[in-house]
Amino acid sequence: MSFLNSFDINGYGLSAQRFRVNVISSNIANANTTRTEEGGPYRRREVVFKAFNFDQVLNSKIEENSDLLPYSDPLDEGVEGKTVTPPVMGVVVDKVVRDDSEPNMKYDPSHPDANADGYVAYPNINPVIEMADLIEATRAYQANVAAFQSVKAMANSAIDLLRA
Amino acid sequence: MEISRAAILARKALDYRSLRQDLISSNIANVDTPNYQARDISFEEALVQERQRLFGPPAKTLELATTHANHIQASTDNSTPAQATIFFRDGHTARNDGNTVDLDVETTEMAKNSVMYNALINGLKKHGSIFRSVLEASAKV
Repeated sequence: MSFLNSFDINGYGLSAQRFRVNVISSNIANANTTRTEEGGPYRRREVVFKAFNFDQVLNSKIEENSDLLPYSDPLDEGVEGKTVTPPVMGVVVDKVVRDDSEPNMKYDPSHPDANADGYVAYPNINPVIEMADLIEATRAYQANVAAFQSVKAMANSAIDLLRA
Repeated sequence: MEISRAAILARKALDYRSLRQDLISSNIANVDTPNYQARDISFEEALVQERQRLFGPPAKTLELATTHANHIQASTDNSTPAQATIFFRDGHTARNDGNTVDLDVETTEMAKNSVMYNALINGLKKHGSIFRSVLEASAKV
């Protein structure tokens, strides 16, 4: 399945960016939320991505689930024992972290969540930053789609060689 | 009448590929159905066995030498053929509605599947054209 690997790698990229868009949406949706289950105002969430060695994970899965031959990278073909550096990396969402910076204090004594001084703790969310992140995530998703389409065109043109 | 064993195998692979396309379509159709589990099919092992049944064991297999009439002959044919199995597959990210469909995984798998389907169709066409060229040559005799 070697020539279809780039499909999978792009698929991981698409999933990761879509997840990031979801988290940014939740930040924007909760820009004015003052009550949460953990107590206090909503706190900004951020996504941390992590790269993983695609060939290594693929080979361990192949070994686990079938008796097929492992996939070896074409770059080290014919060179015994040579490891490819850098390896082909996929991406996964490692964790979602909470931004614990100070909440925005706004003076609003009539608000039910106002403190003794009349200040309300609003989420530490800057809509401008969130919109910029959203655009970045959307563009990254589109870049993955473009890479995907180009890989698909390459695979199909390789098949077209049969037709000649 | 069996003209080509390769065509039998390719047709079987095509059947599996189109079944896989159906499964992926139904996953995409159920992308918002709560508690729906994404389904997929694993048929590579079954296809390898089918290939062995049609073409015999691969060339690299070391066969048991029988130099005496009383030696036991290793049986090469598997009486129980491997079955293609439909299994529940996970996406890359977890969702909180119990649904395991990841739209990006489904589109990726669909693209891979349609590329392979394309390859099989083209391979079959090329295979058929070999026989066609034989028939055309015989018409000129």
